[in-house]
Amino acid sequence: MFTGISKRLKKPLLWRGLILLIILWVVTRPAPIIVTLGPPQKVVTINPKIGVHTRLTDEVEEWKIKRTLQMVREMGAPWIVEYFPWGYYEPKKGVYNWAHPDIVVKHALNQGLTVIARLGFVPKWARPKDSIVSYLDPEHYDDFGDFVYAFVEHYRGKIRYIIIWNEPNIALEWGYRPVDPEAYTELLKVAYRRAKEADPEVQVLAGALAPTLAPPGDPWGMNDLDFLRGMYRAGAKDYFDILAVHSYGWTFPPDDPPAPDKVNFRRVELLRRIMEENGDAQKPIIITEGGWNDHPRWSKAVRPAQRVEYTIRAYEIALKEWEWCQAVCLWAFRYPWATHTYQDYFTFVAVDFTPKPIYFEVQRYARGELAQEKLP
Amino acid sequence: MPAVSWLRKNYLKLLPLPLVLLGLTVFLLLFRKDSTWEEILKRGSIAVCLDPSYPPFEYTDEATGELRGFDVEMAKAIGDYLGLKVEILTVGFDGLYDAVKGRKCDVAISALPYDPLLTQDVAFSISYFEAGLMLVVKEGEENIHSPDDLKGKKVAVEWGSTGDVEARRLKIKLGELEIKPYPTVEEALRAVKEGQADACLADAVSAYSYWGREGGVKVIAPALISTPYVAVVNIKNKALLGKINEALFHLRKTGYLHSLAEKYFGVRPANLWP
Repeated sequence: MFTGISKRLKKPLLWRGLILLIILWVVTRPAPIIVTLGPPQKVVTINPKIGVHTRLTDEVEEWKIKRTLQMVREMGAPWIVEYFPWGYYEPKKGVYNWAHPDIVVKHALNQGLTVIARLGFVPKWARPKDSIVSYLDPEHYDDFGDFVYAFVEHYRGKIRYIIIWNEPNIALEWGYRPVDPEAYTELLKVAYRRAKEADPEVQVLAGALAPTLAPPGDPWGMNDLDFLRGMYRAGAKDYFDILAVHSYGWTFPPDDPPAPDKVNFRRVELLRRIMEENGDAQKPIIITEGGWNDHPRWSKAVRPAQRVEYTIRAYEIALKEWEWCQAVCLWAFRYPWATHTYQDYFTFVAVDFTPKPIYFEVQRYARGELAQEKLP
Repeated sequence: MPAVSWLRKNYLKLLPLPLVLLGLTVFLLLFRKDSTWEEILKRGSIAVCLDPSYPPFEYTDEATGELRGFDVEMAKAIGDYLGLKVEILTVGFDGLYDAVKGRKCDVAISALPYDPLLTQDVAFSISYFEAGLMLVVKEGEENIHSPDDLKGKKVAVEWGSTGDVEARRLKIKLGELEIKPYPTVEEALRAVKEGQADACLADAVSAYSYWGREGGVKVIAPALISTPYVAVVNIKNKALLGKINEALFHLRKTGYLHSLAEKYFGVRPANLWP
């Protein structure tokens, strides 16, 4: 058989045909999109606490990553929270692939943005078969610690903020197991030690608790206030530098007063009080998720105009009233694809990069153009 | 061992057999007949999912606790046309597609917009209502017939809405156009009625509701951005989809859909569907 192929390759016509095909492929293939870093930028804003949660983890094309971060900067937001899934970057124990996150980080820094890295997502090798990506047994805490060390070391001088886990007070984010502030605190301790070993300057954010009114004993989650108290009881105090808070407004305006039985934007003040009660008043808070949704039918949504007004007011509250709040990073700047659910109505920019009016209004606010303006 | 000996000699002849079996299996899987329609006929009823939180399309009557609305009545009319009882199941908005995919119900009729990106997951019927972005002008206005006529005009929008997005786009396209943002769509529509704005860009549901309730404005078709409401069935239920389309054609033709619009909006729009 091989002799036959070899004979055929000796025929000049076949060679010419092959060469022609190669030339045709070279000529007709789409030209690769060349993405350059561009000159370094700075964020211009009247409110240095404006931030957004980006969704670049699953964004494949580099030009989209750059465009997203460029638009964040142009909106006037100096902060981003981005998800860096452990399972994506350490597919085998001790084998790291930083290719994609390197692209995200280099463009973010070039746009003058401060990156807060959310770390989580357990790789297959560190969890039982058929478990979900938020399932991590204590026997693998050290594996996570190793990843935290590798991540912080790799991005030393580039990423100064890391969040340990996401919403550990709800079962979905705790491997569908009963949530446990003590177990989370143990994980936090391991991660904190390893992060500081890699870079003593890195700021470790704990919590990122889901605002929930789950009653005691609820199998799906624990009230965020109770969970934070549980963390302090378990000795979390010395193992984080900043508390990460998720602060959704649902249907309430940002000035709606906080109450333990209500999920609203100012619920963060109750968490703050717990920090103060535990002698942690000197630590700041960063809101790493939050905001309002303007889906026409979702029961927790508001009207588009309210969303614009509430969002700007939220940034203003953080600036003027919450000295302890370092940044407000609202969910979510843009999705890589449409979710076809109410989630699409959290975004500032559509999938195709069309800015929504809220984008332009936050931009005008950040430029100081909204100061004297009022709605008709 | 004659069989083994035969296999040794003729194994090459048997090589295509697995391929033939595989092809046959794929053919049967792809072209097997869906029996949902037969099952519906057998039980004599059709299960309709909806989320009763969107008046006037579907809502719960506070006084009686009964489900009411355009979609509820239309579902019953589809059932009547097909000779079936209608069993309504309430499902949260974000669970409607899953309810259809998981066969919790036969069809979802709940003011669901056609979504081309979901056509690999579910099947959509023909449209029964155009809910897209409409141009609204003052009653008696004769000079504005399309978005191109808005050059130099004052356009009221609900701040942050799709109408706002489109007005900003038109401003770039036309050059001269003053956008007047209002906190609610009702206030934007009232601005047109009271002469504070020349036109308003609003979704059809809000526009028809205001037009029917307050008067003084008119809606110009077609929609600037189309959002057709459709019924949604499981992608495998081709026979059921055909029957629902047949019923919707009938309801369109007989004027039933227009009578529903008149009942729930107080107006008979010219282009009720796209």
